[in-house]
Amino acid sequence: MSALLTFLRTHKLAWILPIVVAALIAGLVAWRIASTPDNPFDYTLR
Amino acid sequence: MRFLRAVLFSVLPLLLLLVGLELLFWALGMGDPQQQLSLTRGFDDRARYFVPEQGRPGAWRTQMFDQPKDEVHVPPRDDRKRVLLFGGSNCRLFSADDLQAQLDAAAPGRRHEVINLGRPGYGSERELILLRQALVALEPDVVVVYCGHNEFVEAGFASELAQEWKEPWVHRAALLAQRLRTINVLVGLLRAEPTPTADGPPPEPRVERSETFSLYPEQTQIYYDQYRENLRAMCRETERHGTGLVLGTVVGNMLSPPVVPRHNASVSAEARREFNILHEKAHELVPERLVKGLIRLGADRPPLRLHWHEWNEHLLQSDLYERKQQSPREAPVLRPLLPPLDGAPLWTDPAGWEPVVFDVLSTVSAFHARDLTPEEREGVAGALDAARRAVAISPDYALEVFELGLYEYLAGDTAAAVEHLHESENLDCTPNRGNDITNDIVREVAAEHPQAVLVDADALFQQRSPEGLVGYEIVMDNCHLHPGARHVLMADFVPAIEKLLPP
Repeated sequence: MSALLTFLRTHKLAWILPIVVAALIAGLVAWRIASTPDNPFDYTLR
Repeated sequence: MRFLRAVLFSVLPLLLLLVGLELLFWALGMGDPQQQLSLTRGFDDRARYFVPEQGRPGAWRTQMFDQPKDEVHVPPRDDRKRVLLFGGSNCRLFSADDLQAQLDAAAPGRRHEVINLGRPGYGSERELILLRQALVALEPDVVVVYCGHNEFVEAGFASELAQEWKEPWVHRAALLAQRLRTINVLVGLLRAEPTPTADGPPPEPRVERSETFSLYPEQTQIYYDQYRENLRAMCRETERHGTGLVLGTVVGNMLSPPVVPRHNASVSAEARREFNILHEKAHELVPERLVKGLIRLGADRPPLRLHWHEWNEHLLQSDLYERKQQSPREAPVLRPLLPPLDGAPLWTDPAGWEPVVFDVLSTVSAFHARDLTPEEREGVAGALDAARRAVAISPDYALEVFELGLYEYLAGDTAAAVEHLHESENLDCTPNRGNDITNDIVREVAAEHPQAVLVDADALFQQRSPEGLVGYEIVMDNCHLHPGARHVLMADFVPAIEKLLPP
């Protein structure tokens, strides 16, 4: 545990970078999914 | 070893963060993978159309609409006979309550439950998937299938999706990513929520599918064949589950012009030039007041394709009252229909109509009245002659055959007009409504499966229309029936459904 904490303290870039890259990829994938076209005639009946 | 440990330590915070987020969203009930709009947009058996209603054993909820408020909530099965309706936007507009009341009245000793699973834009491909899942989840006694208008609309959308996800691995990766709540929450944030439609008409579909999806005749045939196979599969599925099946032919507006006309490849360039001259000549000769809005008379005078929402069926009573006070308007006079469609008009209150409805109906009124001056009669005769010559050059060009039908009608030859209007529907390479070809497929499949009961709505509504010409008195746009016509169609379904229920 202390080895992990020492590592995290001394090598910040090593663990922050994967989080940043993963967040970018997740954002890209989510955007791709969100921009999939909707079914035609998707308007709401009142 | 040191390197592996460094890698593990580097990735560990990311993994912990992800697990933490997943747990958080799980605790908050957000981003449930089982409740996401399928990325396949329903074109996949793995899409879950029905999910159990939380806290209500035996109850189900659909997940096939864009907005939660549109989803259908199905109560637990009880002693009532359960009838499910399948189809596109037409079916969506059917009143389940109306059909239920008519069924209860027809068989007073029995109670019925009608559930409308119609979904705008859906054609037989996704209806088949929906039906398969509904047979298992909802255990219906009878299903009613009223589809045929959307075969090419759905195909156009499927093609659009295929273009969007060209690389299969990306699609697979996205499907996998949808299993993570974190991704689903992000998607929810990124998806622009449709603006609530408290006032004004609903937004237009983003693109007209016909602009991006237009087929050639040999391609068109593939989709008709697929439609037949989908209907056959519906017959097999219902038979396997011992569920009654009602198949309906669909009713279309014969005055709605074809979408994608094409010359036969054998028509030479020179012949096409001559064709175009005759086509334009007919437009110059025909009196504008009789066809304006029905056909394209020029770039600045396109055909007016009405949309069902322009009749404002779902307008609030208060808005309707306000409109009545502001500008009371009378509906143009169209043709009287035959029983049971006679009597009061089938449409909504004209006070709620958008101006474009009046524009189209004014022309249609003059068109049906056929009250021509001698000069106009001469113009119609000239247009008819030009159109006949154009059709002789290119007999497969749907639009010209359609216009020929209109001119024949104006000239008083209704029988020939009806024949050509039917022919033009069948020549359309990417139709936006059912036609004789789709309806014949329904009849053919029903005949192959004696356990299915056919409701030939197309034939019934033609019989109820003057000289067999189904028009704007019955249909709001290309394919959506007026409220009164829907009520009559529900009555047509009643004996077919009752026939399938045990006494």
